[in-house]
Amino acid sequence: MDLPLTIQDTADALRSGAITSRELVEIYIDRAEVLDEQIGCYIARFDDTARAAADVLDAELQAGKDRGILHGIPLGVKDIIATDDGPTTAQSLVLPSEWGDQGDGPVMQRLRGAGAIIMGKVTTMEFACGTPDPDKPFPIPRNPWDLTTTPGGSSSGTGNGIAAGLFTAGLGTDTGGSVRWPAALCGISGMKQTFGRVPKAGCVPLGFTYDNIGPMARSAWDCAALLQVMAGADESDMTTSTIDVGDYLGTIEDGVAGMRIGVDRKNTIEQPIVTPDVAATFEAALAELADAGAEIIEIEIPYYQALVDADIVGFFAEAYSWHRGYLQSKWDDYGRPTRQSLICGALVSGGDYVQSQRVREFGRNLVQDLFGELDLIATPTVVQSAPKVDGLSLTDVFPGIHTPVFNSTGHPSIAIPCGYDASSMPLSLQLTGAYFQEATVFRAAHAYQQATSWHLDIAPMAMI
Amino acid sequence: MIDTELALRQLITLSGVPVPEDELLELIPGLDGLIARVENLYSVPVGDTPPTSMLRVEA
Repeated sequence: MDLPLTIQDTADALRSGAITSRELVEIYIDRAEVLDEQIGCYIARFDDTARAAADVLDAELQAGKDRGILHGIPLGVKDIIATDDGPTTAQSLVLPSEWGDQGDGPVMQRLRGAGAIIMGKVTTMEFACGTPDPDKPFPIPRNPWDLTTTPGGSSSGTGNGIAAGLFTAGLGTDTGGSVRWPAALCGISGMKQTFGRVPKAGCVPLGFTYDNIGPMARSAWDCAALLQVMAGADESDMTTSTIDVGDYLGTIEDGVAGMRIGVDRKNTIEQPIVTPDVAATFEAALAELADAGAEIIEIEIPYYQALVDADIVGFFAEAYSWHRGYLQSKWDDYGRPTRQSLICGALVSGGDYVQSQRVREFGRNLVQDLFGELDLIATPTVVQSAPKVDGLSLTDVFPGIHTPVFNSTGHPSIAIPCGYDASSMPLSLQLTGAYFQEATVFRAAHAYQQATSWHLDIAPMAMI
Repeated sequence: MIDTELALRQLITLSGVPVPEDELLELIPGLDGLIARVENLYSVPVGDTPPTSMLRVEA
């Protein structure tokens, strides 16, 4: 049979007997043997433990024990998240090897308990910031849609691994857009839920008050299935919320008819860097939502640029507080782009950091007020498709990424594929909801994906 | 007028991080962007709004 692309289809195939989990794992291992050298996805593969887990899960299913939708589903995990299966490097020579010895944190425990199989640890930008340094002994991740371009980051390997068919879904982390940017550039879906919805213990911090472990997969439906298992309070993380998680899949088929969707063109699609092909793709996505019954309303996100600045200034300071000792003692072990980003946190004064947090408090309440009249906010996730790997500069690409504002405010945002630019590279629509309204976000994203098939398109190099 | 290079040297000295001279010079052109972001934060009329000490969005 053809390799099923989504969790939803894979789950059906496993239960119908069309494929076993062990067969699925072997297919993914074979594909990694062929494709990984080209795309730089894996830092460590856990072939043997994945095979063993698959055998156990197949036996359970045969015996009538079904752990739920994730039973037997292979995942890739960004290598800043500790797991029981092997080491954690944060794609860096700096992180002490014993850091990863803590093993599964609450998210990994929940996913493994639900039957997920961990295929391996995958590439990130070092410590989830910076850009790849060719002088360091780690793979340079590349985009399956064009190997001269980046898959984005920092959840690079989760993005390119799903797009290339090396696993069904995976985990990324998102501090300024590191789930949604690679999802956008690789033509897949990625969710950053409400801050505090998912516990972060077992994940190397970048910005303590901005970080999120988020699901990445082909479809919004798959992201909902993953988040359903990942979400919920845990005493290991003081920022997690005790608000009821709800039932994401229970309402996901309810459509967008009657939804009010605010669109901020001024801060996104009307910026000078946007080309007509990108603007047209975004407008076509909005038209799909309107055709499905949503009402599209022009809005402006208040203090948009200041909220972006509050994300960047704030997480520079927070990252520096974690890294200062390592920067003092292991400067040369960091990749050059990473250390030059992290040292910028030393230049943010205490007053500047406090101001960034005051702006967040002020701005997030204004954005939440918008949801008194709206169900969702729609923006492009990116207004520039994947840039070249050679000469990649985050400073240059930041103006084309519209994710950081919602790390400042903490609202739930999903990135979903919505077509291509003039170079046939993926573009993405971002839908954002009110606090803890992930179900509404998934509902709209799923409705869009029921009307389109961008999320199922396969990059040419992955058609093997 | 702030002497950006002098300020950078002082702050990095205070940090105790041994940034080599060539890399310190590489940092200088990018500082304008960071300074602009920080300045923009002070342009927001936050009034007496307190900081979000740890983002607790349910509050």
